[in-house]
Parts: sequence; C-alpha cells; structure tokens
Amino acid sequence: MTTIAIPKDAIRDLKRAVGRPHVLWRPEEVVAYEYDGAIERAAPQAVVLPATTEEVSEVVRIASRHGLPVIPRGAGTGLSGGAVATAGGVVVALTRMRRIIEIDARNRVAVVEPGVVNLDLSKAAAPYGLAYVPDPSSQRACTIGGNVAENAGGPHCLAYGATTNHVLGVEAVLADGSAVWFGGKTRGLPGYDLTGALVGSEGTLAIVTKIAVRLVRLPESTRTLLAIFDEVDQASSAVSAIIARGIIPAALEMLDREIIKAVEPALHVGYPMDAGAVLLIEVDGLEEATREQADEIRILCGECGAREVRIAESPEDRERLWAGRKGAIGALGRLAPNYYLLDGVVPRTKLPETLRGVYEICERTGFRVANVFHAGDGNLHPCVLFDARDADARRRVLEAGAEIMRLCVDAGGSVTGEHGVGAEKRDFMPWIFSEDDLAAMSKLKAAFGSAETFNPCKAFPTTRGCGELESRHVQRMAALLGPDVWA
Amino acid sequence: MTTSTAVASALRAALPEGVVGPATEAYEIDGLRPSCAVRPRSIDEVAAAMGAASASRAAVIPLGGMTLASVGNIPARYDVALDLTALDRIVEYSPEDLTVTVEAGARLADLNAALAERGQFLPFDPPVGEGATIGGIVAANATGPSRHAYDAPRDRLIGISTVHADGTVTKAGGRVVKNVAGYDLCKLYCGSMGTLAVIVSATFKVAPLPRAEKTYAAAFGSAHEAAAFAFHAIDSGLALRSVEVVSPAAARSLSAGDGWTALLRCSGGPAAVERSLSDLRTMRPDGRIVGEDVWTRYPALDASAPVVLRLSPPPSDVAEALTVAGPDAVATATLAHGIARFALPDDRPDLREFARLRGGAWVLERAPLDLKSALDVWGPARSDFDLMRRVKREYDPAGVLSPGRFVGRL
Repeated sequence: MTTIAIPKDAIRDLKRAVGRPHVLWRPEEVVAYEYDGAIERAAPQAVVLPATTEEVSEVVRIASRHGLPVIPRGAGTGLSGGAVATAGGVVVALTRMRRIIEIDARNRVAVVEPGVVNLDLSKAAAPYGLAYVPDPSSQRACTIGGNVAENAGGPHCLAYGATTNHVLGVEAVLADGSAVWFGGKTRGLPGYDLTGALVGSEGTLAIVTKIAVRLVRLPESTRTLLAIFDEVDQASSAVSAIIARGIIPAALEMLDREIIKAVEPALHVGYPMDAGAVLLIEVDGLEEATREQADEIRILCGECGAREVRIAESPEDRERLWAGRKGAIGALGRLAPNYYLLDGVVPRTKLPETLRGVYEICERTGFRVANVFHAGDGNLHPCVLFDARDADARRRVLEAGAEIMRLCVDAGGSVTGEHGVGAEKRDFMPWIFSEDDLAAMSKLKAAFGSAETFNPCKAFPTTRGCGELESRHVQRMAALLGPDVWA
Repeated sequence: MTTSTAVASALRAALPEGVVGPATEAYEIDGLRPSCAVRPRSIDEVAAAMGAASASRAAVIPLGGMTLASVGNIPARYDVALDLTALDRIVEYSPEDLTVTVEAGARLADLNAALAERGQFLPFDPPVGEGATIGGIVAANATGPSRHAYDAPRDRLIGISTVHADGTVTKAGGRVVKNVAGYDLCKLYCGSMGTLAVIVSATFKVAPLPRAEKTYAAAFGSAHEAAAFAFHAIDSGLALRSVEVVSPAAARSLSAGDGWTALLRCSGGPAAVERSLSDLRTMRPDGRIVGEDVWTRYPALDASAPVVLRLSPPPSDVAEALTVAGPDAVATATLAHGIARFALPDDRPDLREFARLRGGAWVLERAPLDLKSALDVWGPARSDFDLMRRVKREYDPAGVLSPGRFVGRL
C-alpha cells in the first residue's frame, strides 16, 4: 500500500499545533494506523495525537486548509474499516485524551475524554457502586470515543441498551474547527436531540472530544448460567422460550460448535468440546429476582433439549464462563490465520433459519465459519475463517460475507448491529435504504457542514474517488445480490 | 402568502373527497384557527397533503390527540391542521421479537390493550394520559414516572417513517432491536415537535408486563428528607419502576396522603416486589401501600392549571427545586432523571431562574398567551442552537412545518 506524500507545510503546521512528537508521517510510523480489524487497509498520510479539545480544533482547521480529510480514531478495534484512511488524509488518534474528568456519583454521570478505555471507566466507577454498562468484547482496549462513533453494543445491551442509551451529551469539534456541547450532564434539555444523531455517525459529522455518560448501579446479585446443547436449533429455541416467558436477561449469548473448538483448548473454560452450541445467560437484580429467573431459565433450557445447565456459584466461576465469551474472537487464531467477522442483525425469531443459511453459504463457498453472538438481540457475528495471504480467498471471503449480509436483510434485518457500516458495508446500504432515505440522512451531514472533511468514503454508498480494489469488488457483489429495498 | 381558500382548494384537488374539511375549534392552537383541517387515511395521503401544502407554502401543524397542543411557542403561521388520528393501525406486531410497528395516530391506550393480550406493553406514561397518540408522544418525547425504569420514547424507538415538507416519504432505523446502519434519524425526529418532518409510523421495543406491582408511599416534613429516602431506596438496588417525590399539594390530589411524599412503585416478579417492599418498610416503617390507581391519577394533576412548568435540574437539586416552589405548588419529580413538573396558578420566574443556575433547563409547557408571546417557552438557547437552526433549514427549507413553535422559534 503506497502513501501519498503529504505537503511539508501541512506537517509543519500540525507539529506546531500538537507538538513534534505527536505527529507521525513516515511510512514506518503510520503503518500501525492502517487497519482496524476489518479487511480493508489504507495508510494515512499523517497521524496526529492531540491532547486537548483546542488542539483537535486546530488540527481540523489545518487539515481543512490543506484540503486533507480527517479520520477520527480511537483504539482501532471497530472491525468495519471505519477508522481506516480510505481516501488518505490525517488520522486524528484520540488515545492521548484519556482523562476521566468527573464522576458525579449522586447524579450517576461521568464526563470523560474520548480516549478513555471502556473498561477503565467501569473500574473507576466501581468504588461508587456504579458501572458504565455498554461492554463491547473489546472493552479492555476500545475507547469511549470509538464506542460513541459506532454506537457500540456488547453482551449487556439486551437489558440495558447500547451506547446511545447511555450518552447524555458530547462536546464535539465541527468541520470549521469550532467546539460545541450537545446535550450535557442533565436530561430533558430542550431542542433537537443532536447528541442522539451524533452517536453512531461513524466519525463523519464531527470529532467528539468530551462525553457525558450515565452510570448504572451495580446489581445486588448476578447469576450466570451456561446451557449446553447438542444442536444450534435447540439453543435458538431456548432463546425464544426465555423471552416469551417475559424474562429479559442482562445478557444472552450463543457460541456454536466451531467456536467452542477454538475457545476450549485455548482458554480451558469448561465448554464441552462435543457440544453443538452453548448459551451464556446472565440475569441480574435483587437476589430474589435472579434466583427465581435462573430457576425458570434452567427449566426452559431443559425443555428445549439442553443436556446440561450449569450455574456459576462464585464470582470466579462467573468470570471463567465469561472469559470464554470475551476471549472467543481472540482464540480464532487457532483455527485459521485470519477471520472475517460479520455483524448482521435479524429479528430474534429468524435466528434458526438465518444460522442455517450462514452454514449453507460457507459450506458452498468452501469456508469454515464460527459463530459467537448476541442471541438475545438477534445480532449475529459469523466469523468466516480464511487465509489473507491467498488473494483468491480474500476475494471469495468478501463474496461469502456479502451473501450472509443479504441473508440478514432478506430476513428483515440489518447489515450492522454494533460495528458500524464503515468502509466495508457501505455498498449494502441500498438494500435497506431507498435513495430518499439516504438523501434524508445526507441532510444531517449538510447541516453539520462536514461533507468533505470527516471520514470520507464511510457509512454511505461509495462515491467517486473512494475505494480500493477489494471494495470495488464488494460493490459489484452488492449490485449482483440486490439492490432492492425491503418495505 | 396564499389566501386561506386557495390553500384549501389546492388540498382538495390533491386529496380524495372527505379528507379535507373545515377547521373546527378543536384544532385551535394558542387561539389560532387554521383555514382547513386534513385527515388523511394513509401515508400516501399524508404525502399528497404535504406536497400540495408546501406547493402553496402553507404552514402545516401535524396533530394527534391534541393532548400536548399547549406545548410550544405560539405558531408563527398556522394554515393547515394535519390530523393524523385516522392513521391508527398496528402495522406489525411480533411478540416473540418484542417489537411493534404502529401508525402515528394510534392511541397509546388502544395499542397497549392490544399488546396486553400477549403480556406486553409499551411502557410510556406521558403526563397527558393514554389518550395521547403514538406520533404525539414521539414528537414530544413525552415521559412520565415510568421513565425511571424504562427510559424515554427515544430509547425504545428503533424505526420511524416520516413524510417530509415536500411530500417525500422516508424511513430510518428498522425493525430489529440493534441496528447502526445509517444516521440514527429516529433520535433527530423524536422530540422535534413536528418541526422537521411528519411522523407517520414508528417501531418500538416493547416490554413484558410486570408480574407484580405495589406502590409504597412515605411522607416527610421536607422535600429534602423525602428525596434522601428515595435516593436511599434507589441506591439499595430495589426493583423500582417509578421513584417520584411529590409536594404535599400533589400528594393530596393523588390521594396519596399528605406531606412531602416519596412514591415508590415496586415492580417485577412477586418475590422481588415483596423483598423491595419489606426493605422499604424497614427503612421507613410509617409509610403505607397505596393503590396502583395513584398512577392513573397523575395526568389529572395539572389538567386545569393555567401554568405548567417543567424543570430539569441535576437529580441532586430536585429537592431544592421542590422546596423553592413550596408545599402549595402541585409538584412531581422523577427523581433519578432530574425532571420536575409544576402545575401552577401563575408563572414562577424564580423557579426558572433556579433551574438555570443549577445547570438545568426549563420549559413552560403551558402558559397564558400574554406570557407565551413575551418569552421563548423553551428557555434560553444553548451553544448548540446554531446547529439546530441549520438542521431545521436542511429538513424544512421553506419553514412550513409547525413554524415558530420550537426552540428559538424555529
């Protein structure tokens, strides 16, 4: 991948704004910022690491003066190409802005900078008996700013909602370099909910520089169950049975046969190697409530054919069960050199047929696939295993991915539940949104005046001047499999 | 400016017989009566109405149950009442997926009756009662005591269909509970008070009906003591659907006793409700269980008040706000979310000033016309107002949707 040279005076201006050590532009320096776990790679022309809102403002002004796109970036764990400099430009890495500015325990609000690591916020809130709930699997690395950009989810979204339900306000730097607060620490502020519109905008409207989030009381009691099934379909029907009973667990996660084969030898968490699927189910609340719900869930799983249901007896047991889930993606390295992680959503009731379709597509196209996902939300994460050194496999894995996305859309779902559209799925957008729908969205971009500035070539269908070879291939696939908008 | 008869005939030409009618007194807003009322029966008819209205640059106000019509500045113009109550179908209900898609004109009460057959509900309780329509609740992001556990409409809204000023029909979000494809315009339209687009249908996450509910009322000598008790209950992690602190005047109107009263609605499985009640009794033995109908009496609290003021101070300042208002003001507060509503005989500038000083906002939800014409009922503009103006200009360039009614007279 070649990097287009950046004007010398742009580098000089950026160094003046943020300090010499915090501007990277030599190819060997920027290479660490060319990738975010998706397939697409592109080296930025420069990487800037500002320390304050004022520095972010200055960087945005400099970039716009030199006609350079600005790509905000957190920890680069987004998995959708959202933080990749597809069209070149300056990556603004916010990892130096990692102060927890305030924890207001009485009002259950924290104000943080965007580079704060997700798990670090919960650790800081724990002494007050509080937590920041949205917990992506990458929570040890991912940042709150990145979570805001992608509207990140996580296992505990089922009961508690995603990032958007936990953000009360943001300070953001706009395309003209001005910094504006949207929303704030209090609720019920009159006016358009621009905070809500900014969350999940994938860094295309503004750079978020401060975030006010709500904190949630740690529950008195938490019970975690592991239900082991011979068949995926049995596990899916247990998911439906639990919800139908009126129980909304804090988390309801599924791992299929293939991923268990990766997880168990790597992490030794006690998943049986011959199981067809396991469900990880967590309930929280009052002691009385969790006991009652855990009993009911155990019975329901049994009725759906579970061969065994374990209940974690201690915090250590609980941690161990979760270690298998949270470490699942990392363990995939045991199965293949690379994986292509998809993020489709279907109505919960369509899970069994969608999973069958995923297996069928992968078998037909010659890939192994491992599934670990948020079953309660209908949010699938098929991990298609491949070897990226093989150019043909790289192309075919994108084809298989496009077919899986199409399957989700045909089931009445969406192409992304929590990772964002990014670079990877932008050409699938016409499958779910009409031209008029997309035009209504572009009005928001026009209002923010951000069209040519922030994160170009992301989140919306490809325009001219965007696109590496592989994305053009995806574009062709998108045309082949669609486009039509489901009503 | 087109004459009122020209607007009505343009609309009649664009719509089937019977859809366009005269504007009766029922459609009046702030004493203004439009030149006609349109009551479309389909989304296509809404689109045709908007197309015809904007071609003649007529100002349109979308309306549902008219229960929140007092909220907003005096309209700058008001030519057409767009009555959405005929759009009242449940489009798709999938109990196993916990989702429902419903047209804007459906009444919350009717929707919840249908959901109850499957043991589910949409947990909204706007201050105006269940006569409110879905479109109105979303447009106002209206909440009540259930917000404590169930959050606001914006948090349960997962998809939306809208008709824009020029008649274009668009959607955002979808019908799945998790979805980050495209900008989340659901958030933008929710709470926009009919100034950006006409909401014609909405998809929500619904909730299972709680298996048991009981409400504990405890009276105190001051708002601060009542709030301290309520915070203690919240911090104890009890299964609470609503945690309200109400003034002595409000407690009397609700038949919930006298004195500064904490109202705690325990909700969930029977065991969790009993445990919560038992803990509350231990914390404050002289409280009592009140009937669940206390919550259905809530909307009547401010029904006849000339002035309704809503403050949103930080939760820690709620008790002080109630104290400033005094025991005779009919006041209720959703404590943990920092939302206090006051039903008053007259304006209370001191309360508005209090909210501002504590970093919160105020909204005059109802006020006499002379007061409404003298100030912005949404309070002073904040730093993001310039962007709001740009948003309004993009989505409604001709300024025909509810002109003048929103923040900063957008």
